[in-house]
Amino acid sequence: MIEALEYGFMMDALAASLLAAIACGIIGVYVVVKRIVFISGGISHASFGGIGLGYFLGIEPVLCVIPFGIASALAIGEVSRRTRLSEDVAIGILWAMGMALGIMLIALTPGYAPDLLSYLFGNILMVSHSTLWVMLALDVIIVTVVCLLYKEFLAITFDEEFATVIGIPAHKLYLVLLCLIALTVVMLIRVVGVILVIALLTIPASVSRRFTNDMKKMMGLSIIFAALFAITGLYLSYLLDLPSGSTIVLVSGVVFLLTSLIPSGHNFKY
Amino acid sequence: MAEEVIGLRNVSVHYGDMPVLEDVSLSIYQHDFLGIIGPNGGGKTTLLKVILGLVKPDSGEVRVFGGDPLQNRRYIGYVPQYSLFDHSFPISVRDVVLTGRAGKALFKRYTDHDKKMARSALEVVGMLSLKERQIGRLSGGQQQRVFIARALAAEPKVLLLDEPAAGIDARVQTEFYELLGRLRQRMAIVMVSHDITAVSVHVSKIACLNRRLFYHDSKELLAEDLEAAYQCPVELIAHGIPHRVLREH
Repeated sequence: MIEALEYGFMMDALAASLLAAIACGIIGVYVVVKRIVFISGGISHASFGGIGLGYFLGIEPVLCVIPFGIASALAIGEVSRRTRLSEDVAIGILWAMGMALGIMLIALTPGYAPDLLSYLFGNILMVSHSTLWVMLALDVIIVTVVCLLYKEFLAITFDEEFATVIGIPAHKLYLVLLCLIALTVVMLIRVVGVILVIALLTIPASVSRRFTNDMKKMMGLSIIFAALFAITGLYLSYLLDLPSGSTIVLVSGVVFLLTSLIPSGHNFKY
Repeated sequence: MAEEVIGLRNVSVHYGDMPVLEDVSLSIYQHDFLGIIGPNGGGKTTLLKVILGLVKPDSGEVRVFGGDPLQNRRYIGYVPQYSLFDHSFPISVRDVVLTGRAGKALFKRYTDHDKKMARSALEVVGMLSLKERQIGRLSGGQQQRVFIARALAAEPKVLLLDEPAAGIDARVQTEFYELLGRLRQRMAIVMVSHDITAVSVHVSKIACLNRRLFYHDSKELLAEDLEAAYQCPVELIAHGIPHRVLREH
């Protein structure tokens, strides 16, 4: 591992893993306890449209994903409320439309897209310094918002209707939460890619849930798990010359399976 | 005459083409303990949601403390059906009750006063000793008490309970009604239930709801009068001849 760190790109990859772990550790807990895994999957896949748009306009794709992901998050959060469409249908449509749009825009862009696969499945070894700064800024935003809104988020994730009745703008805060998911997706795209994002939004939080019934502790633990998964996966991929994103996801999956075999007083059902 | 706490005038609600509530009028006054009974699917939960401003009626008027439900619903303590919760949710009893205070000051931490109110609410329902317990590790009756404490923590002037006795055994139910009886000194209580036995001697007024509301009038009923007043629907429901008979009532 030490030897691997002598490469600058490995140091950058390590930094990216840790920065991404902070975001997905915190936001993943909300995704899991509020049971919005499918919504999060929708946001991450729809975000691929932003990558396509970045290629098409010749802008850094990650920067394009931020507004695109937020727009998708707001669309998913609003569409089922304002129309007669059921929420899962709305998500399914946006999920596929975003992906299709991304592919279409890339096809329309002259030349070919050499690192297309890295956006789909992640390639943490390609993370640039400017991306690291963007990730740091997103972490600061996510942590700040969660600190400010912790009690409100807890109230709406536990019981949205009750929260509405006692005067919390529950729907608006729910949209804020979806936007934070979109920002987390942006961070995870570099690590595991849009298709595998959902693994890091669900597995660390689900594993940590087996060890605690306190949401704050769950967030802390899930940051640690996410970082461990990313670093272990990264190291294994370096050692065995495997794709980094899928190695990280498989490591997470294996740990999840192992911990679900341990009998635990805390688990009820997932 | 006591102040009207909640008033509904000719309220109708449809879900799509299906009428759920038709021409419902109702007045609830301070210190009332209104029991609303009716079959499953009779619109009981919808009625509560109309009062809370969570469901907008297609026609008719809803007044909560003389104003718009959206403005004044924060004075209502809502106790939804406890069985509908995610029992594995990582939250302690104390934190559940504290969420009752979460609307008092947005974007700020809970104050010492909030914590004091949550504590005294837990004391009232007799659940203070279990405050660190994860919510799913309580019995049904205990969870019900915690959800009442959460509503009380918000310092409500009226309590709305949705099927509070469902799934709670008879002995615990008795204790539970004693608790409601004590709370009635402080606030109006509205309780909906499909279970006629749930409507105990503690109730001061009774209504039957099956799309239409059959209100046993707004006049105060004494406990002795009560039995006579709702003898017939009690008997009829208990014998399984349902709501068609209620309508003629």
